[in-house]
Amino acid sequence: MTDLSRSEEIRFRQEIREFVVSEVPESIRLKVAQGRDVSRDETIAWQRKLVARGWGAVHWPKRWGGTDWSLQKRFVFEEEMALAGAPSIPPFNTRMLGPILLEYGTEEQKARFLPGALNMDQWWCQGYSEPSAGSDLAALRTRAVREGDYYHVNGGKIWTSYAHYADWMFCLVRTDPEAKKQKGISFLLLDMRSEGVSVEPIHHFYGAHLLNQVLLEDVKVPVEQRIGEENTGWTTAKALLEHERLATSRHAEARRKLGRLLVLAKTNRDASGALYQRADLKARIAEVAVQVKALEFATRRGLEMLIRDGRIGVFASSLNLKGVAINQAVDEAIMDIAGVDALAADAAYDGLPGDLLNDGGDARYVAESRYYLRGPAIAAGSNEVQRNIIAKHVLDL
Amino acid sequence: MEFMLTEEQQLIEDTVARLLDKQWDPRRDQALLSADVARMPLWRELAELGLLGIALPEEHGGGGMGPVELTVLCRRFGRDQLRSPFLSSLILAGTALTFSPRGALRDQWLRQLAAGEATLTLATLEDRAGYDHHHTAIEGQRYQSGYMLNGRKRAVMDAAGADAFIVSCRLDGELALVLLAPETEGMAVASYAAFDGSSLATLTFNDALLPEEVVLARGAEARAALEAALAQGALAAAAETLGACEGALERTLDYLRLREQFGTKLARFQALQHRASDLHADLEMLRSLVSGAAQSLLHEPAHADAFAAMALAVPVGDRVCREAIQMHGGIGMTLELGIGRYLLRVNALSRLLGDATHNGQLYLERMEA
Repeated sequence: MTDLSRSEEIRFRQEIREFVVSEVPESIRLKVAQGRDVSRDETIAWQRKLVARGWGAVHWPKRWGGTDWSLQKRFVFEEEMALAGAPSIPPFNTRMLGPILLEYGTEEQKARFLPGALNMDQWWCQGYSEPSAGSDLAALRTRAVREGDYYHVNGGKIWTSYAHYADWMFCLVRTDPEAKKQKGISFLLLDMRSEGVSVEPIHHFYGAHLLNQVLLEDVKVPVEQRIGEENTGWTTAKALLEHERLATSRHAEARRKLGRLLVLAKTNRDASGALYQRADLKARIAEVAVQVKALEFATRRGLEMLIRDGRIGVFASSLNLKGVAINQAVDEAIMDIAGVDALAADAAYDGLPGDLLNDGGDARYVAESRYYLRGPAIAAGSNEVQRNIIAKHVLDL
Repeated sequence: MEFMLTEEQQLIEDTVARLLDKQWDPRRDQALLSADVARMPLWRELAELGLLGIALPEEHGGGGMGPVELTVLCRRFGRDQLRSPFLSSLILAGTALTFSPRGALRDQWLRQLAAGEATLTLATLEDRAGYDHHHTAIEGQRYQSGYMLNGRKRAVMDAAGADAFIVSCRLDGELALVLLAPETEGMAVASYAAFDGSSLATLTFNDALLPEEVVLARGAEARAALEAALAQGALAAAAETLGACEGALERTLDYLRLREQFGTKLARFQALQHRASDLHADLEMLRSLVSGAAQSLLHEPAHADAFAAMALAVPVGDRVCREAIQMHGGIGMTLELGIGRYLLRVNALSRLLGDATHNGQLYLERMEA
């Protein structure tokens, strides 16, 4: 099943690590290590370095600036990038929109949108969820009515990550209100600068701004910005690369954080010495380390399924459930090891500065990182939805 | 890395499943102690099919295979609730022998093990040592041309009926493995039954005399053999626990689909669906870790990942097997149904090979080394 030999893999990983060290400024690597947000400009700059290296969208075909790498090589690439602490690029441009355009876009649409998506000349966001269509996405109600060469879009999207950064949004809209749920939906590309688009921030409970509400008030979208046929948007949206489903395990992230946990446990001390020497904490760390190892093997097992069968099927639901739970277990352990150091806020809070004095030392920002990770337990099929899927499709209950 | 079984490994799995289906009935054989199974026709057949010695060296009549095939067997034993001296004799003692330096004593016992003509057991655990099988405080005294031993070994599996004991101790200031016959003078074997039907024993050495030639391995060689045996033992216990969980969950799901209460099948209750889904997801992790660890041991016989597998198997095993009883309701409590046997076995394995904390520490220390 492997096409990279052991020694080639080692060289390849080395090459990636060296690239990250030489191309990502230390200040940004520190942010990634601390689980903090990387800015819009920093993200774009990093993506352009990847593009220059030919690594901007490794899963795209070469013709559009991708590579012809095997699944295994792509897996190694993404794993090593995460282990090396490279900033993660939001998935919307190259991982979500890209594969959809490649599969369902016309040649004109590909030529118009792929290069900009790759180079991040346009920052894309995803307009799927709505106030009354969350885990039950097909209940969406944003309405698009065709008049001549345009759709008139009315409604709104919610939980839209990075909409405040975005130039464009790909979204699902209802084009046939009479059809059954999944049927009357179309897939549109919408310029965020169009008249009638407004973006309202939604702050996370701990203060961060990542999510937004997008209001669409009689927004005109040219018909040539529809991907695929009218009323087939549900199928289009499902063209997500199967290998993206592996990424939901976040195993490399968990491994990187486990490294941080070990460092903190060995450097943080209480009156009797390094926390690492405390039996209860050591047992806790061991428990987390064991789970992270299991997650790593489970993800590799998923890769093997993907290579063998072309799909990972319902195994993705277990990977998602456990990936979230195990990442949270690492975060919670980090927060407990950090103790008092975890208290200092990242940013200003109602007039008081955040951690200006660096009082939290190496353990700063662990709280924010931990709270951020509550999100994936809810997004893209909440834990409860994953359990429903397993019960129905695996356990036959 | 390969998580899927090869055709040959699948064949092994099918063969042992068919054999157990014909010759092992956990309900009929529930009063049988593990050590006694070595005297059943089933044991002979396992030997004739080459399954007993599957991982022993080929030059001594074994199958020359490794940890992956052993986990296939142990997982099936767990699922079918087979009690036997496989873990004590073929896994623990067999691995300790395999990784001991070549010599007439070792080679002869390896041959007998592979042929199913003898069972051995590994005696490691001592008083006041918790689950630490790696540690021994028994110090042999030089006596004439050999040594004299005093002390106790605890929870020795399948000592009743064993043809020889591999005992860890310290000789001349370093770790050693010695091979003792049951009739060794000064050694007493007191057998008792464990709650899962395992046959256990306390070995007492009271000025027991051992000649120089029963020393299997010393120093670094003894350390390496013991490390390999305990790693393989941890992996085997994890695989057996996995099999037990799979058997328990499968039977529980069958029951949920069948049983009706409040006018509907239990399978329709979302609370039960979600609990079952969580157990399934836990098992997917354990499955991945057991397979992954088997691959790791293939390359490095005492690899840390074996202890990770057992550290995860202990809580998952306890949870799945407890839930299996709970979801069955009243009938789950009965000896007659036997679903509770899975819990007995996984709990016994975690007493024998160490609990989650113990195995987690072994993993952490070795992972970081």
